[in-house]
Amino acid sequence: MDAEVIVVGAGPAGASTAFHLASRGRQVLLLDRQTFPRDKSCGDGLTPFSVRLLDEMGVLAELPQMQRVRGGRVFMRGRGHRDFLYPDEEDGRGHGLVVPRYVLDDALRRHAVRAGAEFVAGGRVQRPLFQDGAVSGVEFTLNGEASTLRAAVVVAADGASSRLARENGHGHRGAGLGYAIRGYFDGIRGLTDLLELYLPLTDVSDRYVLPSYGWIFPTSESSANIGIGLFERARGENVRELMDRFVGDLRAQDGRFDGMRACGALRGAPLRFDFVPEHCHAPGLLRVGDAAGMVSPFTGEGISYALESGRLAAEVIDRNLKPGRTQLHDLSDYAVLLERQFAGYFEVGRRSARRYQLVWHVLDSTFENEKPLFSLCRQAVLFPEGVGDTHPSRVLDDVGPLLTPGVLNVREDLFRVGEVVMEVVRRDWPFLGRIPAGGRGDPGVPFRPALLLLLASYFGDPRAPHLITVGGALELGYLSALAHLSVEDEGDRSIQEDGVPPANWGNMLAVIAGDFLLTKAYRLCAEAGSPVSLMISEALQRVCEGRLEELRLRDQPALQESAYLDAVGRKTATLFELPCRLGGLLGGATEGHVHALGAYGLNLGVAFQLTDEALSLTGEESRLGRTTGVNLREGIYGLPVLRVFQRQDETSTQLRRRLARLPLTDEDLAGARALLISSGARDETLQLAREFADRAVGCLDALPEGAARLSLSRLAAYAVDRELPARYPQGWRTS
Amino acid sequence: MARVLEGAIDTEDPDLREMAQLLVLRGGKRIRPALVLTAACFGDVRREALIAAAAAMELMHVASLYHDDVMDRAPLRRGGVSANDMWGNARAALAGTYLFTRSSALLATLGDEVNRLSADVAERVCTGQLHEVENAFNLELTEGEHLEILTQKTAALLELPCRLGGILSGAPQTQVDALAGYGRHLGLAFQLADDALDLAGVSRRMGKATSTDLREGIYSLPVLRALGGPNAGPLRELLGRARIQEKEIDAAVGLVRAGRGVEEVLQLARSHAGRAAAQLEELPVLPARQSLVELATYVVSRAA
Repeated sequence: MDAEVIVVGAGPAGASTAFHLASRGRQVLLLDRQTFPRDKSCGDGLTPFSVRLLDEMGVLAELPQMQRVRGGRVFMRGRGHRDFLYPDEEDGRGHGLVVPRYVLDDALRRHAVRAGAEFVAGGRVQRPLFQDGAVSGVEFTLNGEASTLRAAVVVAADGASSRLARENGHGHRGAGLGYAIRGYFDGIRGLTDLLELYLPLTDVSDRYVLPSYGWIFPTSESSANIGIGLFERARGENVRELMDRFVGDLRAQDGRFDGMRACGALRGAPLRFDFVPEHCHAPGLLRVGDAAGMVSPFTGEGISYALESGRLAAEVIDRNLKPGRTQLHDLSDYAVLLERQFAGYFEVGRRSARRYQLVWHVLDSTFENEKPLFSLCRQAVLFPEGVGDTHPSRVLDDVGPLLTPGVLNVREDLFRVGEVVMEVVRRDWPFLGRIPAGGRGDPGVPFRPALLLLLASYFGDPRAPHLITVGGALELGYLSALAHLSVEDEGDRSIQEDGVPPANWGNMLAVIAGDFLLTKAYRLCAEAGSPVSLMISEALQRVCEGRLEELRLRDQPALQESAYLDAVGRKTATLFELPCRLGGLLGGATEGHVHALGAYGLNLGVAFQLTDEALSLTGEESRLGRTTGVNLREGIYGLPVLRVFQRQDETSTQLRRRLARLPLTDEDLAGARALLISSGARDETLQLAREFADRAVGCLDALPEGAARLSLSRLAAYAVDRELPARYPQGWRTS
Repeated sequence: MARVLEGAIDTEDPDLREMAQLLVLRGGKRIRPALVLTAACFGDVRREALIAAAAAMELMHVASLYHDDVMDRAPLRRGGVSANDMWGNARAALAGTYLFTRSSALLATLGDEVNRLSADVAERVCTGQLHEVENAFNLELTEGEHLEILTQKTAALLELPCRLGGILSGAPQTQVDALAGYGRHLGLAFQLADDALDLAGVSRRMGKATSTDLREGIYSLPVLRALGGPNAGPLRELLGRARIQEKEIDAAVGLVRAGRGVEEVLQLARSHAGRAAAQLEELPVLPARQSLVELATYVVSRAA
């Protein structure tokens, strides 16, 4: 053998594979037909996740100072723009970078070589070699001389038009194939530290929307990488002409580009979106990065997937390569890892191209919509940060400090619940399973129903059957409620020229996704038996009643506080009560204990909701991304507003005046917020929330002391103060 | 059954009661409850449970109507104003979800098997709907994929009442399966005939459904057939427009009608009706069997 592993292609995916293998002491041969450094067609944008991966590999420090980016600005055709900022992370890595591939790829390649990989430039891999039905090496031509190179595994990292993949029967077949083109420009004025995306482009007649976008990724204040991506072959569209039109429009319509000059020629490359985990391995062969079709069909992003798939491939190869083995037939672990890591980020296979239309229509028609489903969708589709973090582990990060050492199984069980949820939606729409993982540090995360269910089961038998399944059902049910909540009324604003309203894609998605998730939830809980189904049905029925009550109480300034709290109890607190009761019941707790758990859940729910209302006044996003702005705009007054209205004083009059004008302007909202804070209504609401949290803790008195009870009591405290207690220094992690 | 229906959707909330009652009490054809009760004639009838199942089937169906109308922005339903038109989308969608929870609660009282079967079907219906919407504007949708979607989204909701009627009346398994097969083919016959007749402009909705569907990029079988026919070029051109206008829809409908698609799909509907009736040969010759055969004939003979 010439090496243990041959990696064909030294771009980010190949270099990452070679680096991770070489640093594990594997003998790696890294081949590329070009000499480095070399130029490459790409947007050059690195997401924070890419930055993190580069940092973990130790490459970040080797890069020269590059343009930092804080997030993206998306221009939706005819609808203005919105900014998406990367979440700040404590360690300061919550930023992206723009690094030309000329620089990045060479740094990565050198890093792999330094780790011990052998690099051969300027040679061409002609075809794979086979032995006993497995790839056993490659035929290689260097300086006109052909040779054969043998290895136990060959990794295809040879890009979107992968020769190796084609030889191996998994080349593209037209579907899921696009094209991107870019150039470098300078002489631009006023670029910021945001990536700019323009969605979508239209054809020359402006009648057909093309599955495409344009980008401007700043490399400095006055220079940028500008390009366009096209996601499927569009009728008679010439990519070059589309690019010229995009650049021409920028010059004509945006003063920043008046003096723009092109630096060098345009460069294009195919894009592949045909990722299917099972196609990424064959006997003796793995595919990584672009060669595996791992490119986001919405942003064209591929670097982070390239780096990550390279790491996973290295992990699988290293684990399976035993001394003395010259061939590796079964590399299917790789598909399993890919599926786990990326399900939901790429829609699998041919579906991605199809679903593009649906998601595009939804994005377009809900671009200004603040309802939780749509803001989560926008975030997940356009800026899917955190790829590679599986959502159960993220939940655990946020929940960990609340758990006491006696409930160790909860961590593992929560992970299994997450797997159940993903498994259920994986085949049809894995994207939906990603939605609850919307943001790191979401204050709602510790109140996930599965956690309450699992903790409550400790008052009986936490190993009782069906807990995991029902936990999954509850998570799906709650997601469904979230989706359904996003259905909205509409006025006459959307009538189009011929008098017929266009489809309301937002409502369509909200209803379809909500129904889909709801019935998935029912199917899961039916496995636990009809009494469980009945309980869930009855709880959801109360939620419907509560939500209706809330709608009915809209625009009622004279609303009694008790009536409001009653609606909150039904709509929100029921969702906390149900998992507490179910956990007790499924675990086999006594009737008295189940009752106490339910009462705890109800009070906890009210405490949580009131805290959300108070905190959102100071701009903190509330649970599910619902902000006071959305609620006030819909005439749904929270408790702080009702408190002020009750007073009949000057503040009350001012607030009424502020909220009387509809639709509310941003200024009205800001004014209302200020009044609610200065009047003390915010603090009073927090006080009331604290009383409910105390009541919740009081309910726990009826339960036996222990780790589960302590955890529930910590949760109640967290519901109002939103501060995680210091982590247990040791012990709790050792499950 | 009317009493059970009213009882099942009763709630302390006066608005919700009114909203839930809107379509339930307006009646409609109530084919699904009728199927439960007719299918039950082949076993030893257990009255209470059957009535509950029949009511649950109607509620599940009506729940889907509330949600369909929100999605389609339909102004009318069952000979009157739709719930969304009367109370807005948010409330109408809520009423639909509420009815679904009531239906599920009823089914959960009928034992684990019924509960599980019903949950499976509800899941299939919604998965079919999801697949339909995610194929919006997909001009390459194959006939096989389309029929699979119809089987999930429409046929399953006629298969379930037949199966439940058989199970709850204690009919033997072979008869239950025959009844379920009947329901499935009946559902396909019903949907295909509906699509063909609506396109031909002779249905009760006067082509309204076709127009809404084309606007939303949902293509029925006659349209898919036309996309594979001689008028495919100009039809593609029209359907690919970013925001299709009313007169363009009319032109597209004209192109579809000009082909043989409508007649072929009606023919396919009749063949499913025939297969539905053929399933019943497993069953004893009872008046109920004759009723089911007649229903299958009826659903494909609505061309006025």
